[in-house]
Amino acid sequence: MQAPEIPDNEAKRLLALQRLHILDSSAEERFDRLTRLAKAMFQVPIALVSLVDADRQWFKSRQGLDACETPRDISFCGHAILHDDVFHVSDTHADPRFVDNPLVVQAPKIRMYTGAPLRTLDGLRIGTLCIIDDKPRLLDQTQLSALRDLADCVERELAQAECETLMLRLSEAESYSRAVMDHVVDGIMTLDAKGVICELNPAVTQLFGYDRDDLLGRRMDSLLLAPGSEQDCLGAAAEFEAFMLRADGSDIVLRGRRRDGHVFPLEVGLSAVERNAGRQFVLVLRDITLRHAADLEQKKYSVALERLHTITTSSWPFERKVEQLLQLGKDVFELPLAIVSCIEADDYLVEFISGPEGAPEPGTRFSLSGTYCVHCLQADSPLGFHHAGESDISEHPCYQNFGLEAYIGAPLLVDGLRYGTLNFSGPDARAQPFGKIDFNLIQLFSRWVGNEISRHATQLVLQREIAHRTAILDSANFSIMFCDLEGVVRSFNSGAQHMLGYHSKEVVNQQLLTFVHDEEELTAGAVAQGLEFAGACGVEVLVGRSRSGSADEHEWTYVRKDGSRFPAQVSITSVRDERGRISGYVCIGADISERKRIEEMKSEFIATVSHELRTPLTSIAGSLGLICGGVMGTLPESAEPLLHIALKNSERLIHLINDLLDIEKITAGKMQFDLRTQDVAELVNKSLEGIAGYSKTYDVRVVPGRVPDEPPRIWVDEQRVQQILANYFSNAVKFSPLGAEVRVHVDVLGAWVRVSVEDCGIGISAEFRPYVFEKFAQADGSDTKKTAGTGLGLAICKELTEHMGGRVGFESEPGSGSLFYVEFPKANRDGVGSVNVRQDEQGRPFVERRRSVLASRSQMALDAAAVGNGRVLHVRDAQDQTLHRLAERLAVDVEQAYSIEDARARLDNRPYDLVILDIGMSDNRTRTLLPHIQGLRDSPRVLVLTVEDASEQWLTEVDSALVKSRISEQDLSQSVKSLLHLAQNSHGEKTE
Amino acid sequence: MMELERVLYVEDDEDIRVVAQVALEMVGGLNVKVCSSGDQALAEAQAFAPHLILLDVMMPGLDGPMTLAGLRKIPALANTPVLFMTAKVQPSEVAHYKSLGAVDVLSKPFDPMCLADQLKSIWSGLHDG
Repeated sequence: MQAPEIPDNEAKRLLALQRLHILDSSAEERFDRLTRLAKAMFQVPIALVSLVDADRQWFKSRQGLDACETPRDISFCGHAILHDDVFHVSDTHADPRFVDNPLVVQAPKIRMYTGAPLRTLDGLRIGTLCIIDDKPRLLDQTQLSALRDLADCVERELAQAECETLMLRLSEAESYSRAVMDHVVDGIMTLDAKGVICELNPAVTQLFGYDRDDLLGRRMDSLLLAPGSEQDCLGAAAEFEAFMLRADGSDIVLRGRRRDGHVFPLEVGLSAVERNAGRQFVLVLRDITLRHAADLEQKKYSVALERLHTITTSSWPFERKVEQLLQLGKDVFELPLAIVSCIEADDYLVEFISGPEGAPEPGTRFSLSGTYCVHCLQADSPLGFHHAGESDISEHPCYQNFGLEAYIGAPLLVDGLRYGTLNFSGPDARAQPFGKIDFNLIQLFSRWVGNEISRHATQLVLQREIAHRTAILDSANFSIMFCDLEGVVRSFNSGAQHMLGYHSKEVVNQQLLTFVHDEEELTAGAVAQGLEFAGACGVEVLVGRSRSGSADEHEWTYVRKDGSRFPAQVSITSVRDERGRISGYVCIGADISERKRIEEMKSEFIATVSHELRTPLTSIAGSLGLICGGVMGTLPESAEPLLHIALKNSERLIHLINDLLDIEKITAGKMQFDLRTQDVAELVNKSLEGIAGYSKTYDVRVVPGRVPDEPPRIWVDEQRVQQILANYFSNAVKFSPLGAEVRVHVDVLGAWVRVSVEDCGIGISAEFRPYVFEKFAQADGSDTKKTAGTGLGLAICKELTEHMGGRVGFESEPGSGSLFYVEFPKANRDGVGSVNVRQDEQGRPFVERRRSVLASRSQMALDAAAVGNGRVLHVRDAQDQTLHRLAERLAVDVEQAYSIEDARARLDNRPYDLVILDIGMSDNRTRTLLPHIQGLRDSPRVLVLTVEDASEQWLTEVDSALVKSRISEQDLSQSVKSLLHLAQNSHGEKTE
Repeated sequence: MMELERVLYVEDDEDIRVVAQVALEMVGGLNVKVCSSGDQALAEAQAFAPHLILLDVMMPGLDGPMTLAGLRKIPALANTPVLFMTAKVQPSEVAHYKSLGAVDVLSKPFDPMCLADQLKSIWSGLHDG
């Protein structure tokens, strides 16, 4: 058997077959009619319409056969469709292609087959009309032609089916596109070659506001405005066609005009189509008003930003910049009047203004409540309206008085505090309300103006400060040098030029700070400080001690350019940057040769006078001593008391002269100290031995009191300490009642060792306390008879102690005795560490010269003054100039702490009247200071400044909490003042 | 041990001279030769052959240290102990005077009732040591 071949165009053939949608459909009379006719005409038992599918033949119509399909490979039709001619097999038994075909061997036992191919309109053979007989039979040409004719009839029926399918699908497509046309938002219309509207969808009528019938037959260009012109329409038909041709296939933006005259941006998509009636255009129209507006806004925004950038980066003076910004705002918001206002209480002060002629002058004041700005301040955000007369604020006084229709304004913050407003306004209503971009812009503008005002104010303060400093620097009486960390001189004032004979050009950036010093003296200084003297070490000798924080005062020899020398009192202070790191040193020198000369004259005078006084006194006291001693025989009884008085007073005079010489020596630095480590207990015991005889005459016992188990050692000159203790003892004895006891205690207080002498004498009155350690101070003039003394003793004690690095002080209650103490740093075997440098918890050296609070009167006075002015600690995380300016205005002492740790250390170290906590946006740490502050003795008042409203619990515990953007500098200053006032009054109560 | 007997005392101030002389002779029972200047002392000391010499430091003409130097050139007095007498002094000054050859320094003003005892105890200290 030979299976049929697959034709070359099989794929196309199958596609054509499928497109007929006929396979596996039900039987149809129009085909059955033709197979019946064929069966009758040719007197055959079987007639079929067979369609050859990919692997089967399927019978659309069959007569005399039950099967509806058979496999293609055994089919006769598979062969028949390979050629156009009718396929005739007269006897299958005689044909080797079919003799063993199952359809021949078995039922229906085909002996004769004749099939005429069925072709589609495209000529593709998709099947056959065939007749089959079970007897051999040869058909003549006439018969074959007849079968062909019948097959043509079948072909016709097949074509009909194809056509019907197409029609159905066409109508489906049309109803779909109709639905799209009717409901799409874009307008769609068809124009003929002359631009006349032939067809349109409902969206077009909406777009232009005309009825469908008004538009049909109308020219399209009557609906458009030509680009670049308000009036002209698109023009004549010829131009329109040219335009359309040019625009074919691309989107263009035109302006459409509605029936009511409103003009809107219109995006037009255009394509040309050829129709029977000729060339036509299909237009897709879209109203792009919204997109267009957004584009315009965007453009306005970027133009404004560009101009703002030009202004901000310019080097114009402040006033010019602000003026330019106001001009920019006027252009952007299309308003003629621009104002920067400063608001204090209910006063609206015009600070800068840019407007038409007749606008108010800068400096004009209005009542705030009469301006629109009051609302934008209340809202604490930008505010604007484009047509006041038609809004609910038409009753507003600002509208009533000034007739301003349009307004946009924003609050102006300077350093976070309310300052005033930036606003733009005009007498004409604006067509459009202000948009988001307008509000963004004015906020941006106001922020910039705020920064600029702050910077300007700071600059003024700085300039003033610089002027002050320059004046100070140029003062001719002091040499002032600034050097960097390496010791290189960076500035050299005119005083220094004058004093030292160098020109600043020879010094600045050329010389080390040491260049005016005597090298030998520096070497000696280095040795004294335990430094090896080499190279830059000279600078270290000078500045080293200033690094601890306080100024280092020292006398040095300065060498002028001409080689001459003079003594200078040199004060060196370390300069710290904003992070507290040392950035250099200021070195101020005063020529003290004149002072020295006077001092030398003075001490020479004192020495001479003392000596000259002492010589006669020696003989007076000696003579009297001999007489009173009975060497010259017995004296008359009446003469004896008088001679004793004379003797006692001559001895007192000698004491006085000795004390005077002592104190002169100490203050002139001529007293030498032999410092060694000494055991305190031993020192005390020796002193006790020394006082025994003296105390006996007063009938007072001096006894040891508390002593630690391991008596500490101190670094002192033994003799001087003996002198100090002897002085304390004799005072205690003198002021004690008969039979009383004086106790001597040794205590260790941290790094300090305290020796205190406690009596139960008359005590010290409150008035006298500040003067106890002053020269020639004695408590009660009327009491001198009992308590003779020179009045220099305690002053000498203080001087001696402080020269040995210690401190003196006392505690006393009038009537119940006094306790005088002297403290020295605890020493180890090698001497003593620098106790003046305390380490805080963070390990940062925290330096303060320790002083006994009551040790000197001047210190007391200083403290009193500081409290009087108020001492404020401002805690925040960055530099802020506001409080700096405030400090100047209020004459308060404002310190800044930039970290919690810094603040804590400062709070522990000195008393403050007020702490200002400046709380940033996402700051959760600052609040942790509050418990610490509350735990302090004499805890200061607390003022909290926040960025935004906050109703947190902890804020109820502070004295005052303010939102920065809602208060002005004046408000803040007022709050600070009243809190300081409160603080000082309550301190007063505590001390009374 | 030899008792302290002869003391040479050099002092320019006449009043103090008198007081000291009384203190040493009448209170202390010593034999005192008084000189009013360093020159006089240099001229007359050898003849007196003092056990101890007491020198005021500040004097016109030859002062105390200069006088001491002069005395040391007289062979007979080369080893005679010398004391200085001066206004209240610092320990460092005492050391300075001692380095010049003084055995001790007495401070002025002195207690006339004790002056002789002071000299005697220094004298016996020198011989005990």
